[in-house]
Amino acid sequence: MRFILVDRIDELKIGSWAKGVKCISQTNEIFEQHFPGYPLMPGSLIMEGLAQLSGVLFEYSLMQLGHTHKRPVLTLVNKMKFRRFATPGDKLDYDCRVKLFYPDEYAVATVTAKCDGKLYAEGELLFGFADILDEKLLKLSVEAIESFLKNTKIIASDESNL
Amino acid sequence: MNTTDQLRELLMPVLGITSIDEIKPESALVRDLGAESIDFVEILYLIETEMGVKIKIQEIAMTEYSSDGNNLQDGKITNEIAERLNKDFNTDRFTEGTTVKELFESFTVKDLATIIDKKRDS
Repeated sequence: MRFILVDRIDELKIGSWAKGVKCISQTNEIFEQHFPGYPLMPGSLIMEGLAQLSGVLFEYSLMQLGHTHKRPVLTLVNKMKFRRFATPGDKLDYDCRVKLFYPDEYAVATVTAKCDGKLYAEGELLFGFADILDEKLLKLSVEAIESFLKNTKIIASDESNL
Repeated sequence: MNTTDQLRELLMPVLGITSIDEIKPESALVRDLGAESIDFVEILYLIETEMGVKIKIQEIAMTEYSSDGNNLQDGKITNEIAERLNKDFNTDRFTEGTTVKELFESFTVKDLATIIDKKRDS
């Protein structure tokens, strides 16, 4: 199975930014252990959600640029900071802004997670681009992206940003 | 500090090397220091942000010297290309018959510094 850690991607501007949402629910099994009687969303999972949002942004942007057989792979987490505890009931607004994007090489995104305007997490994520060599995997990849972007408002890129 | 020494410092955390003495100017990134393709993303990013020079992965793979079919014989570089490489990188280690893979694997810290210096000057 795949752990999807972003509930909805609201808006995506090709090659520029993406905004998503993660709602934290008490029913999440993780809180049985993390921690008994004191539920806290692990920072690593917030980071993974932000990485998934960024990954979708880059993969979709690559597709739109004609690079159909590339997949972003998280290669480096830089300056990640967790400012507040995320607890059940919180609705985290995930934001990803492209800092650098070289479709033939790599990309860097600046990410934040906020709740009610307050900063919960921030950092910088680097992605390399791996080739998808198998047509079956490519199909799965395209399907995953489509399912992520089912309810997303897509905004076309400004050529100057790329 | 010269470019080579700056690079040696920058490469330490990326390659998980604790002593700068282990990174010599003539050390090959892949063969001697164990750099993998995924490390190059970080190396190129750090060079861009900390040294202000944008380098492409193709430049490290030296595709400029090997991408033209005429430069290769059975996947190996010709004498003409070896001489050009020796001149451009101020060395004598390139010889006719080196494979494209060997070019990438033998790319040294000093070679990278040479590319950075050239870009800074241009």
